[in-house]
Amino acid sequence: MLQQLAQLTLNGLITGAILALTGVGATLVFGIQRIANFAQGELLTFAAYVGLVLNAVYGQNLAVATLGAVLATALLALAMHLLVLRPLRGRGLVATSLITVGLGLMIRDVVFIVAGPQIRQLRIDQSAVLDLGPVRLSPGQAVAIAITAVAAPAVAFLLARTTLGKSMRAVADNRDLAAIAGVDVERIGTWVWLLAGGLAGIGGIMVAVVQGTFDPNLGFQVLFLIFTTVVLGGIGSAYGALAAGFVLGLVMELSTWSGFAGGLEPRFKPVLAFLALILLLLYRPQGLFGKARVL
Amino acid sequence: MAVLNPAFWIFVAAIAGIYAIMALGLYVQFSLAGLPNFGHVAFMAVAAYTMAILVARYAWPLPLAAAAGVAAAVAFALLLGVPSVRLRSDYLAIATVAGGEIVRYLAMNLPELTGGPLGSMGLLGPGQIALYNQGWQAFLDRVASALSVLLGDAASRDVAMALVVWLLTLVLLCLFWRLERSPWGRVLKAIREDEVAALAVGKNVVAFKLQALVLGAILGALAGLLLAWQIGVFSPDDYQPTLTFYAYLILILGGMNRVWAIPVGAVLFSLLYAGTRFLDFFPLSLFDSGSRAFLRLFMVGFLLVLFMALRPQGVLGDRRQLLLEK
Amino acid sequence: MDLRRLLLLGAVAGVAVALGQGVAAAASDVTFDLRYGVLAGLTGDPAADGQAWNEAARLGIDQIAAALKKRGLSGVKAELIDSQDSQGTPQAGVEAAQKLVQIDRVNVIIGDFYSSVTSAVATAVAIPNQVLVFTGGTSPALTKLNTGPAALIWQPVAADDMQGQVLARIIGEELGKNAKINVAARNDAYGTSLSAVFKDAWTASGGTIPKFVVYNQQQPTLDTEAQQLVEGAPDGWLFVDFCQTFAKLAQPLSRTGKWDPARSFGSDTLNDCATRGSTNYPGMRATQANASSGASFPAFKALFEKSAKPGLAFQPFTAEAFDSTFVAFLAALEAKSAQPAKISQHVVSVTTDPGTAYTFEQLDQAIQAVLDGKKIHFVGATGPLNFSANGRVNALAYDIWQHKPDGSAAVVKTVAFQP
Repeated sequence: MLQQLAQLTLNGLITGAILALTGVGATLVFGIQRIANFAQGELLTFAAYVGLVLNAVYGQNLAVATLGAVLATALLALAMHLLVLRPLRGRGLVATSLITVGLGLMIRDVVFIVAGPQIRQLRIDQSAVLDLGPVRLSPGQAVAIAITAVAAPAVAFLLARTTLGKSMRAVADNRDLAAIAGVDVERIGTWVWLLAGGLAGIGGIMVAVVQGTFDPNLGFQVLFLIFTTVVLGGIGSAYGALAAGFVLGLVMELSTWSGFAGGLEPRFKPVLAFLALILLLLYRPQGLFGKARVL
Repeated sequence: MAVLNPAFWIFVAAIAGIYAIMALGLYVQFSLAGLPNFGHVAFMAVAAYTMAILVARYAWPLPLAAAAGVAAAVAFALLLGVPSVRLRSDYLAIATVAGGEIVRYLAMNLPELTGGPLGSMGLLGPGQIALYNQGWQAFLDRVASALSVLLGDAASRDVAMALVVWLLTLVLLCLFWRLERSPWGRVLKAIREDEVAALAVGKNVVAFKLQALVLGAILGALAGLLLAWQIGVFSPDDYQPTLTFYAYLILILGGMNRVWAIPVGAVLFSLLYAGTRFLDFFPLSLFDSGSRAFLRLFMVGFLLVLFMALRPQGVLGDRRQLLLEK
Repeated sequence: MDLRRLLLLGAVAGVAVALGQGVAAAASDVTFDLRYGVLAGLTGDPAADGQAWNEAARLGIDQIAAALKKRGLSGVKAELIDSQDSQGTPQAGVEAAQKLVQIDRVNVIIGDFYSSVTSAVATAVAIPNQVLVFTGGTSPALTKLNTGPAALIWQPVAADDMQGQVLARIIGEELGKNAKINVAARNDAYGTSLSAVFKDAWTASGGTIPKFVVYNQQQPTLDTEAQQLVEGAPDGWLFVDFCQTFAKLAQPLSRTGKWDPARSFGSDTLNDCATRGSTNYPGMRATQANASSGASFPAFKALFEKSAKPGLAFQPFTAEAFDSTFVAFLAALEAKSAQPAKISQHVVSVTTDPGTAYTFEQLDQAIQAVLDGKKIHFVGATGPLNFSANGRVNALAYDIWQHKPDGSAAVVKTVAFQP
């Protein structure tokens, strides 16, 4: 029982890390650019496939592949921003969200055409096991933990200590006030997209290694969980997304513990996540760390 | 290839009419009341499943089961609405998506209730076929035989369906056009444009929003029922969030703030969707048929972005209206 | 005189032409144009399976067209008119089928891969318009739609009700009737139906199922499910999944250290994962409707690897799509017509004994035999087929495959099966 609890906690932290890191990027975009980016999932897919090309085709090791994926996805996000979303601004939340839906369709189907629908794997021996006493890790999970150990503090540092990070949080919190205070909102907007892309790159590789196998549907399958993380944490709050991601991951995994009256059947995990969101919003309409409404 | 075979296009027209009703439901919620409900598809699912379960398992008569389906959708709207209407619009959007996905996941994972991933066919267990639209088909046959007086041989069941659907669509459009211009509609417009002011003059904003949600749910339920009857079988895969995106697309294609733009948008959308099935001509025939399927969706996405870039106000919309969007 | 002579000349000429045509016609009095359409989920979640299905059908039709050309049978045509995307949903499937039937005027639809889509297409499009359907769906309810005079829905895959009982019987023989078997099934129509049939059959004969786990195959990790599956001290396991998504479960299963593939059984889709772009699990066994007697599966696999879209992996039921194209064609040849109702009357006769056995590699000879009026038995890549008049295939025997330590798989036993 307890061993299962420990294992589930670990699984939950790993899933949570994926949601948290990708959620930070998504929430900043949502908060600053006022866009629900439905192509966010496709950024993860793109990252996983760039990683695959570097890792399996060009034989690079996983670290290089991850870096390459992060860079490539950041550039893709920037391209989306500069070529499509910035010129088409001002059409309102729903219209811009639909544009991102269209972009997502395009990216996903290009990956399908180029890479094909069959399942892929990064070059990790997924059958190996790391026995750490109460818990057992797969190599993919170990990689994911390593990436989180590097990325999460880096992101936290970026947001808390650097001018760029502070400016991002300021603009996300109150755009007009930040502009008055002298922040170049336009430039920050561009940086936010780069960050969102980079974090999506990390997220994509993490999903690929944790899942073991993946196909071009990878991103779309986690998209709504990412959105749930964003809203749970409070739209525009980077720390909120970090917290909400881990909370959601833990809640989903721990709910299947047999100590809870047999535990929830695992296939209902997403239902629990969505339900948790709705229930939280009932009592706290701005999410965990979002700005309280004036009204 | 008989590209212009009317049988196919009449089928597409019937679906377009059903989508127009679905989009009208979204119009009431979004364009009138300012609620970006991204879980609209859930109303369709709830109504269709309720109706199918009652007819296939408990042998209810079809009209009664349909009414029960609509009632179930209304109940769901209230269930989802009470926590949601107070939310800011971007929170509302994601919360409603979550609600819609809950419905879909439950439909997929409760096979004793809903037939599971097999869909409505499995409502009576794995070995049997559950059909629910015999009553509807009988009704259509009666309409078709009445029509054969006018149209002779051409009066098929599909023609009857298209006619019934579009008649209903037009009636509903008229109804809501009038409603938009009524005092009730004006309050909603005020709420959409300045909620604080509306509150200040004493309007119960929450109640009005809930009413809009419920009306939208009724329309969504109608669309869901009609679609279920037309196709004859449905599965949880039919109710993915993509369908709500299509409804928004229809609103945008036609023009966001006009009731009468909705059928235009619906027809355009159906032409886009059905028209992209005909991509086996040069140079696209250089792609193999499997890749052409991916290309089709790529083009749908691309045309969507293009349309938003070039004509964001929709075919019948007014560019100035865009400025009022939040 | 001139007029009468002219008339006489004309009459003679006319008779000569008629006679000549008659002679030519007797040599090849068969002319028809068999139009195929493919319906499958080509994009989205079902893309991997649907694309393979599409390619297999295309390969079959190409083989038929090549054979016809070689024989110089210019009056007979077999062509794939179009492949349409059903996206795995009944609604899109019906619209796609409407396009195939109303616009492309196909006689045969090879598809859909999903039972839910097939049932919608059958009731809304195929049966009202009298079009043949060869489906990859495994629900036993599909062939129950054949209520009219001509059976239009044909199911080349072994339906769940038969498969489930075979699995129960075979596992009972290998591990004991009262054994505790943990069941894992993918959460789609195939997985849930088959596992439900197994559950009924297994518990009815005295066995128990400590853990019955249905999992979403699209879920990122299946660690929790894997941990549940090794609980309850089972004597064995049953897995109902496709090779490539099964890998997502097998990896965490082997990491628990408590899973023994030697005591695991899989459905027919897991009989040889190494040939399907995945890996085998030494010791694991799976059943398959009798394919080892006279089947041309290796040849089909070679053809697929050579000519299908590069990089596309082999998937479950891909071979059934391939076989269906030949069955439809040979039945049409015997019926001397491309009319679906007529074809359906000959499907049984070209796929059952008595009759000389031919595989797709001997298509030439099979065509000649049918033209000569002889009775044939087409043996597909999936086995002897043995269609019955209600649309189902009858497997008279089941092979038990086992994954070998070297990573391959082979048939270790064949059991006869009487329903």
